This record gives sequence, structure tokens and C-alpha cells, in this order.
Amino acid sequence: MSDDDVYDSYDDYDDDDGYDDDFDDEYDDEMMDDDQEEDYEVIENTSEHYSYPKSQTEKGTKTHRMIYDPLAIEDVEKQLQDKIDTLNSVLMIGKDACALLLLNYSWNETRLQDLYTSQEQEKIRLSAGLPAEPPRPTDPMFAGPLVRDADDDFMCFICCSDAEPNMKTFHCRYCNHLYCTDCYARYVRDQLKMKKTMIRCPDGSCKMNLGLSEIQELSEYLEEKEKKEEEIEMTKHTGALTSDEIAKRFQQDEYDPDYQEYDDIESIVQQREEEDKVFHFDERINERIKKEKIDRRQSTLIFHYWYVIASQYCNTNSKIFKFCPFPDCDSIIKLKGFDSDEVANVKELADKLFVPTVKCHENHSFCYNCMEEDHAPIPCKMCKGWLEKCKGESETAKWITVNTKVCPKCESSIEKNGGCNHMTCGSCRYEFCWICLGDWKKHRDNYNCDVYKPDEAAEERKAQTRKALQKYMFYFERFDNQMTSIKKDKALVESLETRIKKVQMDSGASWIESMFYREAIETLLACRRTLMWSYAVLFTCPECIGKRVLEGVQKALFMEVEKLSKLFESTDTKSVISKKGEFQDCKISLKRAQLTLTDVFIDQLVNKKVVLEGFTNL
Amino acid sequence: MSLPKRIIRETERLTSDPVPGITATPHEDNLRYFDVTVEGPASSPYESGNFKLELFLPDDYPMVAPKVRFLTKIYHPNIDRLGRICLDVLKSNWSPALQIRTILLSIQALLSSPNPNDPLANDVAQAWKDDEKKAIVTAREWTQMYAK
Ligand SMILES: [Zn+2]
Ligand SMILES: [Zn+2]
Ligand SMILES: [Zn+2]
Ligand SMILES: [Zn+2]
Ligand SMILES: [Zn+2]
Ligand SMILES: [Zn+2]
Ligand SMILES: [Zn+2]
Repeated sequence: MSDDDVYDSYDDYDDDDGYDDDFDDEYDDEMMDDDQEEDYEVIENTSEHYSYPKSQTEKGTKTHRMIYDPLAIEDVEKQLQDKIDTLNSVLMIGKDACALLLLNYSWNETRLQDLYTSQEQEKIRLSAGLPAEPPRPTDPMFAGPLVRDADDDFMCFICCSDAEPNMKTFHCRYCNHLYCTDCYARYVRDQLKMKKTMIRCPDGSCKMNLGLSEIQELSEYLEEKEKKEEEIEMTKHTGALTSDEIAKRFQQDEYDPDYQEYDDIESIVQQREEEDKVFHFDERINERIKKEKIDRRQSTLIFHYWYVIASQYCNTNSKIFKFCPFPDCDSIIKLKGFDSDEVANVKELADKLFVPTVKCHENHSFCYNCMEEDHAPIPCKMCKGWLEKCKGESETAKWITVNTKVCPKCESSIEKNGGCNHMTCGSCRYEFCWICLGDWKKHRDNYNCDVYKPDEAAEERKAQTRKALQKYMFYFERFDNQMTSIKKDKALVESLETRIKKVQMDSGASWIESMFYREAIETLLACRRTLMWSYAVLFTCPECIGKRVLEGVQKALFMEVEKLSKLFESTDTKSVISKKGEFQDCKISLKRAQLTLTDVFIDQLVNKKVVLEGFTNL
Repeated sequence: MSLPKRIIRETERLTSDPVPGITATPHEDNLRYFDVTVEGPASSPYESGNFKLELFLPDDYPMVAPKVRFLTKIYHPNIDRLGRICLDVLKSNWSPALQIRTILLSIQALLSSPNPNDPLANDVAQAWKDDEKKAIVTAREWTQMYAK
């Protein structure tokens, strides 16, 4: 590489292609296909996932369901691999070239096929970091491995190390810019950390991009190398011990108090593995699989590369692909279309006051429109308003200032109840006036403060504020109560493994037999959320007949929630299995009550029998 | 931490085979820190100016770009009041195969061809776009005032 080359080429890097716009259209088309007039009620495809269990409510209100696919990131990778294969079967220029072209054209294969077969071919190839003309596959120039022994006169331009025994070099297939494998690997890792999918040859003047098979080759070499190094490390320990090592071990046995404990940890791990085999703790197994997946991704270059490609693909097509918002979850929901011809996108669905609740691959429920944790039956807009209102609990603070005062004598706080201004402190029995805080004895008129005559209008306004805040507090307390219960129940879920294990041990039941216990608690959690949000709906609901209807179904759900909750509390692990029937009955009627509630809420809201108010008038 | 071979080689070459119009000397107490001077290129508003810069090689160099900053005040659309430089090779287009000398050459080239469409010092870039002739005069004045 000469300096002049670098100097000449440093500022004409241009990766933008500007083809994103057409991309969305293509997806809209795809959605149309899924949308073909089919009677979903009759041919209920069980493999489809819907945002609501039924296509219409009990009363016949259409629910305009969203149809979706819960995917793992690996599923997206697979879909992209298929796209590469398909393109290659048409263009026959190799998977590497197809992948780079697709990456450079936002995976728009139709557009790419048209362009590639036109005169633009050379330009398109160059902008994707490919040689201008497709090299003939038999060309010996480009055959052979990319990881090679370093020549005697080799010097790596990145680390400036000279050739030494066992040193290997790596380069792109279509250029001859060699660097040592260590430097190349670090370079590629750094590019992936920056989420780059078009990885250029490190040489500043070279326009070649690394292809999939090239990264694969480097990745395999590195893995092999690491394995060998580990083996060497192992033989070091199993080989003959030096006197130093013997002394060290001896010391450890003799003096190290932690040494024994270390032994215990190993036996605990072993015991856990035994348990897993017997009890099939899918929780723990899932966690392990997840951890292995992440480790594999971080340590193996080619997996990391695919992960960056797939997540970038989802991010650039965010109308169709959304990541699960739960922390540490990289599951994806792919929007496939709608069970309705009246709705074209999620926003329209939310505007009609429906909640597109989806469940990710890892069973997390969330709203596909606002990405909050599942908030049905409250529509997105009101959900957002309510959350803003609750934020910082400033409202609560305001309520306290409006409704409580501090005793002028002893400073304990007193809540005003009823309209009378004559206050008596519960602590010191001091009698005072609510309005002027003065001694009540000085007030001649028993019911009016003659020391201070407030502006009547202002007083009226204050009373109204007080009333509104009292209404808010009424519903907030109930909302908050469910939220607290959910937190408690979630803690229970976390200790569920131990509990289920206990259930199994105490009763000798199998893992499958005790599954109902887990299902019951999951149902309870989901229904508490529904109940919680129904309070927020009622808060924004004006006094009317519709509200009475909502209160009715809400009360029914509340009773069912309480029933199952009590059953959990009152059943010790020994008798869980014997109460299986009871748990299942409770679960079923709870689920039924939940569905009735959401059905009725949809009926009332969508048909405008109840019109929710905003939050601004408070 | 001992100095990587790469930095030693680059420093050696900078002294044995210097780039015309550019000097780069490492500090004795910190071999990653360089005093740099760049001569203003001929037939540019910076002609006959002698600009001082500082250059620092971070621990991760060459995996990350060197940090470079003008110390001499300069009127240029891609260099801000603090002397920070807007140059793609110092940011997203950095590659570990680039070197100190290539970076300094790029900076010298930036003095020859200012790019007000990719600005860092917004007001200067705006002045450049509004009235290029006037901006060039100012750049020349600043060179006389600060870069002598
Ligand atoms: Zn190297
Ligand atoms: Zn190259
Ligand atoms: Zn999830
Ligand atoms: Zn929402
Ligand atoms: Zn008191
Ligand atoms: Zn009273
Ligand atoms: Zn009073």
C-alpha cells in the first residue's frame, strides 16, 4: 500500500443507495397476500398468531386482529439465508456476491434482479465491494485458502510484526492485502461492534468487501486456533508437575480454607444437573440455552456477523419487525397482516381503540403499537396519558396538599373529611379552623370562618380540584394495588421452580403433572394486568350507563382474581396436586371472566357507548 | 506498558523519511503524544502559514484512529474553534491500515480544499457558502495573524 493511494481515495466512500422506499411497498404487497378474503372464523389456522383470541366479540363487534409471527433472531437469519439462495439461483454469481448485493440494496431482491440484469451491473457490483466483473469460478488466482502461512518477508501493516514461525495471514478473496490473522480478526470484531455489515478490506485504498464465506473461513480458523491453545493449556496441567506447582497444590490443600468450599460448589453444580435431568426444569434449561447462544455469538465471528445482519435487517424494516421490549430478550415479532380489510396498519388499529397485544417467542406480552407491556383493555393513547399522570406521583403529592393540613400546634398531619371546617387534631386535641388554621374558639359562627373570607370562585375551583383528585386517587389506589400484587406474584414466579420442585417432591408427581400450577399463576398474572388497566379506563370514563356495564364485568373479574389468588395462598405445596382440579376450574373461569371483560370493553369503547376523556382537563 | 512495534516503526519512518511540509515529533516523556506542524499548502488561503497541531495515539491504536487537534487558530469550515477536525478518516472511515502520515496528509489536503458542505464550525461554513471570496480573505488574514 502506498500512502498516495490512501490519500487519493479517502473521501469518496459512499454507501448510500437510496432504495429503501421501494422496500416497504414490497412488504405491503406481501401483506396483501396474507389478507385475502378468507373466513377466519371457519378456517381457523391454528399455526397463526392473532392479537386477540376471537375475530369478533360476543356481541358481534369485529376485533380486526393483527396476524403475526413470533420469531427468534435465528429465524430471521434463516429467512435472509433463503433470500440469498433464491437470488443466487437466479443470478448464479455465488452466495457471497448475492449476500453483499442484498446487504447493499436493503435486501430488495426484486429491484436488485432488475438492476443487475441491466447495464448497471458493473456499478452495482463495485458499490457492493465486489470486483467489477464476476470472476470465473475456475480462475486459479482466487482459488485456495485465505488463511495462509506468512511469507518470509511478510510484515503486517497493522501491528508491524515481521513473519515468524506459525504466523498466518488473511486477505479478501479478490485483493492481495495481507494482514496477520490476529489483526484481521480484531478489525472484523471492531467493525461488528460498530454494527457494520459491509466490512471493507482494511487497506484504505481497497474497495473490496469481505463476503460470508471469507468471514466464515477466518472464523473457523480462529475457533480451531483457540481450541488448540486450550488443549495446550490443558496438557500443561496434566503433564508432570514442577516442584513449584507441587508446592502450590500442597499449600492449597493444607492452608486454603476456601479450597474445601470450591469442592462443594462443584458438587452443587453436579447436583443441579442431576435435578435438571429428573425434573426437566425448562426454566433453567432455557436460561442455559440462551446463555450459550449469547456466548456463541460473542466468541464466534461468523455467528456474530449473522446476528448483526439480522438485527440490522429488522431495524431497517421496523414497520414489519419489532424487537421484544423486555430487557435481555432479542425475540422478534413479524407483522404479517390483519384479519380485516378495514385496517391497513397497526396505528389505524390503535386509532380504532383496539390494543394489538402480541406474545414473543419467550412468552412476553406487549402492545405492538406503543411497545408497552400488555395494557388491554385501555387504548394506547389513554394508557400513555395515565402513565404520564402517575409518573413521579406528583398528583399524589398534590392530593395530599389539597386534602391534608398540618396541625398548627403539634405538626402532625390531619386529613380533612367532610365539608366542615372545624378541625380537631387527633394527637393534641387542638381545635382549629381548616381555612385560616386559627383557634376555633375565636370563630363565632360555628360553620364559617370570619377571620378569612376567601374568594368564592377560587374556593369553588379548589373544591373541584379536590374532587377530581379524589376520583383519581380512588382509581389509582386500585390500579396500584394490582400493580403491587403483580410484583408480588412475579416474585412468586421467580421462586416457582423451587416451589414446583417441592410440589413434585411432596407429592411424587411428574413435571408434566405439575404444569397446571405454572399455567395457573401465569393466568393470574395476566388477568391482574387486565384488571389493573380496567381501573385506568374507568377513571377516564364519564358517569353513564356504559360505565355501570364496565363496572359490572370488572367486578366479576376482580372476584375471579381474588378466588384464584386465595387458592394459591391457602394451598401448601403438599396439597397442590390433590387440588389440581380446583386450580384448573379457577383458571378456566378466570380466563373466561377476562375474555368477557375485554369483549365488553371493546363493545362499549368501539361502538362509542362510552367515550373516554383525555387527561388534560385535570 | 511498552510501546507497540507499530508505533515504533511509524515514528522511525516519520523522522527518517519525513513528509514534505509536515513534522511530527513525539514527546520524550510520552511517546504516544506528538507535536505536529503542518505548512499551509501553496495557492491556498493558508499559504506560508505554519500550523501547530497535537496528535495522540490512544491505547487501542491502530484499531482506533489517532486523536488530532489544531493548536493554532485557523479559519476553516471543517475545523472548529477548539481546533477539532471534521475528517472522515479520523472517524467512520478510519482503518487500522492507515497511518499517522496518511492522516497528516489528509489534513494538509483538507487545507487545500475546504468542504463547507460537511461542516464542523457552523458559522464559518455558512460564511464560506454565503461569500467564498470574503471567507478566503478572512482565512488569509487569520493565517497572517496566528500562523506566523
Ligand atoms: Zn498484524
Ligand atoms: Zn484489499
Ligand atoms: Zn420477549
Ligand atoms: Zn399500546
Ligand atoms: Zn395537634
Ligand atoms: Zn364540624
Ligand atoms: Zn378561620
